Amino acid sequence: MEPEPSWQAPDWQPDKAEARTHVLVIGVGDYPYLPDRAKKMLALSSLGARLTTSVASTAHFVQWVLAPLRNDAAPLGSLDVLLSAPEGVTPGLPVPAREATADGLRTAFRNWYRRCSQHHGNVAIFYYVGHGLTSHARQVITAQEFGRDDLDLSPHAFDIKTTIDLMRDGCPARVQCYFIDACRPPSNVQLDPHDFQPLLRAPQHNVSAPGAQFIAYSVYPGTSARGIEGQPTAFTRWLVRLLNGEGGTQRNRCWEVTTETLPAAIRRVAEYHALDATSDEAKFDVEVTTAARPGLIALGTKPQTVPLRLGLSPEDALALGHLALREVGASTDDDQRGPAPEPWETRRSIGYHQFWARFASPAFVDIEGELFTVDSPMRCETFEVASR
Amino acid sequence: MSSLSLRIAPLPGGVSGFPMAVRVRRPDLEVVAVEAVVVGAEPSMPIPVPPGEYFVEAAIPGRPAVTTSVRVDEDAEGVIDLARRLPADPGRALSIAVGASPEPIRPSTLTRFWVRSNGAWHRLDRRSGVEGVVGWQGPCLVQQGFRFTVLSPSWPESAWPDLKWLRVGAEVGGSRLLASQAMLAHMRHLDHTAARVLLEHVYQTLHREHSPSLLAAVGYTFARTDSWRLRELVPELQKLGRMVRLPDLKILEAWTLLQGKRSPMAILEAGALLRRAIGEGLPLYTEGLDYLARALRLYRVFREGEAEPWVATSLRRVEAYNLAADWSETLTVFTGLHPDRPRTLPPWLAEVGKRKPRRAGLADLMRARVEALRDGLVVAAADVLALLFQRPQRAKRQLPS
Repeated sequence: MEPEPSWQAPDWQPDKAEARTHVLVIGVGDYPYLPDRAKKMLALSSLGARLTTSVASTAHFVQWVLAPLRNDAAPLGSLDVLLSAPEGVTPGLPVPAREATADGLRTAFRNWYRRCSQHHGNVAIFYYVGHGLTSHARQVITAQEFGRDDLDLSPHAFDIKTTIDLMRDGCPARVQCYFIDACRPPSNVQLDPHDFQPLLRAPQHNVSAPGAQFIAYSVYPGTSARGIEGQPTAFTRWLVRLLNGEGGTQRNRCWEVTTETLPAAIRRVAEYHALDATSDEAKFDVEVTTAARPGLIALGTKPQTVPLRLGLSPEDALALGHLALREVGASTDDDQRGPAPEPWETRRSIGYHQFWARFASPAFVDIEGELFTVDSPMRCETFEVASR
Repeated sequence: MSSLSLRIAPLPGGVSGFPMAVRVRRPDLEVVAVEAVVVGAEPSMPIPVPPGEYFVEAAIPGRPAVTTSVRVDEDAEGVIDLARRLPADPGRALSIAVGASPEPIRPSTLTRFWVRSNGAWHRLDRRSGVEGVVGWQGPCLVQQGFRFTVLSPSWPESAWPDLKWLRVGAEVGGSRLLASQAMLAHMRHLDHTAARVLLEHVYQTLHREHSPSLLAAVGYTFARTDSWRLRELVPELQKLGRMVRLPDLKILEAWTLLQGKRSPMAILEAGALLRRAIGEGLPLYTEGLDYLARALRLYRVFREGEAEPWVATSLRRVEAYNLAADWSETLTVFTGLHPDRPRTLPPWLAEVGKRKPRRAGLADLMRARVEALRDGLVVAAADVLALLFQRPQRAKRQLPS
C-alpha cells in the first residue's frame, strides 16, 4: 500500500489530466546514528545530530506552500512532507508528515515523480533541508538513519545532482525546481568508497524537449550552511520571500515568479550581500540546468520598494561626489546625498531611475542623468566615472 | 501602428557583426520585446508597439546593461543608437582573454593576450608593456604544445596562492575564439529568452566559420536551451572533434548520447568519448567542467556494476577543478598553485582568513621548470610550460593597482 501524500487538493484526481503543482518537502533534523559514526570518521565530525533549523525551515516552507502559493496555470495538486524532528522539538506542521527515513525518501520521491509525470504542464517543486555532503563531484543529501551502517554510508544518503539530471529528460513536468538547503563541503577521501546512488534509477519517461529546470543551493560548492537554533535558515526565509513576489517581475499584467526570474533574483540577493563574504546570503548559489521557455512557478505581489546600493568606480570618487536620484516619470523630488566614502544605501521603487554625480574635484567627469533599472528584490549599481 | 527600430552603429575598433540581445520594456519594467540586433548591421525589423515611452536595454558581458529611453509617437519610428552608450574599447567591454595556438606562437600573437588582475583585464603588449600592470621587456620563451593552460601576471609571493590559471584556446589568432567567447559570455549573462533570440544568428555564423571553439560555445548554449538543436550539431561535433584536440566537443557529444533513449552501445560510446575528453585536458569553457562532471555521473549510473576506476578518478579530478574554477568567467579559469593542482579551497574561505592554502606547488613548478620563474613577470604554462616571459633584471615587485 503506497502512502498518500500529506495533503492533496480536494478537486485533484491522480488520473485526471490537468496541470498541477506537486511539492515534495524533506526536512531532516534528527540523526540518531551520527554521533557514533562521527567518532570513527573524521569527514563526519562536524555534522551535528540535532538540526532544529531543519524543523523550523520545513515548517516555514510548508506554510508557504499551503497558504500563499498561487499558480493559476498549475494550482497546487499535492504536497508531501517528510520530517524527522529531534526529541523535544515540536514541528508545528499544518499537515501530517512521515519520518525522513531512507526508505521513506525513496518511496516519497518515486510517488512524487509519478504525480509530476502525469501532465507535461505540471510544476514540480522539491525542497530538502538537512545535512549535505560532496563525494566524487556528487551533491549528496542524507536521511535520518545516515551513519547507521558501520561499513557503508550509501544506503542512507542519495546523489541528488544525478537524480536531477535524470529527471531532466525523465520527467515531463515543464517546470522543475529543486531547493537544496544543505552543506556542500569539499570531497573527502573517506567518503570515496561509498557509492551514493540517485533517488531515481530508471526514469519511466523519455522527454525529447525537456522543460525548465533549475537548482537553488543555500551555499556555494565547498562551503557549509549555517543557521540559528530553532529558526528557519536564511536561505529558506529568502526563498519564501522571493516566491511570494520579490523574485518576480511584471509579465502579462501580473507579477510572476518564473524559472527565469527566480534564479536571477537569488543571484541578486547573493550579489547584494557579497560585500560581507561571511554572510549566509552571499553564499546562495543557483544552477540553471535546462533553460527552455520560462515557466511560471507562482504568482506573487509586487514589492513597494527595494533596497538599492549605488557605488562609483573608482571608489575614491564617492568621497568627492554629490549624488542625486530621480525616478523616471515620478513627480517626487530628487533624492540627494553629499560626499561620503561609503556606497549610497537607499530604498527605491521598482522601475527606471536617473542618476547624477557632480564632483567638486576637476579630476572626475560629472555623470548626467544616467538611466538604470531598479528591479526586485534588490539592486547594486556601480557607475563608472571618467577621469580628466 | 507606430514602431520602434533598433540600430547599433559599428563600434570603434571593430566588433561588427556581433549579435546583442536588446530588451524593450515599458516604464513598469514589463517586457515588450526581445530582439537580436547585430552590431553594425542595417536596422533590425521594426518592432510594432503602441505609442508611448519605452526603455531599451542592451546587455554587454561583464558590464552593467546600457539603458536608453525613447518616445514612440503615432505612425513614427523611434530609432536608438546604442553605440553612443557603449564603451569605446569593445575588447575591454567584453572582458576578453584571447588564447594561444597549437602552432608556434608568433610574437604578434602575444599582443593579443589579455590577463586579468584585481578584477580588471590588461593587455600584454610587447612594446609598451603590460598595460597598467607592469612593464615587460626582454626575450620570451615560447614552446610549442597544445594544452596551454595558464596565463597569469607575476604577482608578489604573498599573492601566489591566488594565481589564476586560464585555459587558453586552440585557435590561432584568436578572432574566432574571441567571437566564441564573447558569444558564450553574452549568453551566460542573458536570461534564456534573450539567449534563444540570439541562437539563430549564432547558428548561421557557425555554418560559415567551421570554428571548433564557436561550435563548442553554441553546443553549450543549445545543451541548456534546446536539446533538438544540440542533436543536430552532432555530425559537426564528430567531424571537428576528430580534427582538433578540444575536449569540449567530445563532452558535448557524450552528453547527447547520455540523453534520451540510451542504448548500451550509446552509453559505451559516451564513455569512450569522455575518456578522450579527459585525455585532452581541461575543457576550454567553464561550462564544460559542469557538463563533464554531469556526464561522468550519468555514465557511472548507467554502467552500474561495471568496475571502471577511471570514472571515479576523473570525477575526483573534475570536482577539484569545479571547486577552484571562477564560474563568472567564460573560459576555464581556476585558482591554484600549479595547473595540475587546483586549489581545493574556494577563494572566499581564504579571503575571510579562515584557512590559507599552503604554497606546496610552488617548489614543484620551480623544480620542474626554470629557476628564473621567481623573476618572471608573467608565466603561462600548461601540461608543459608553454610561455615564460622574463625580465632581464630583478626589480621590486608590486601588486598591480
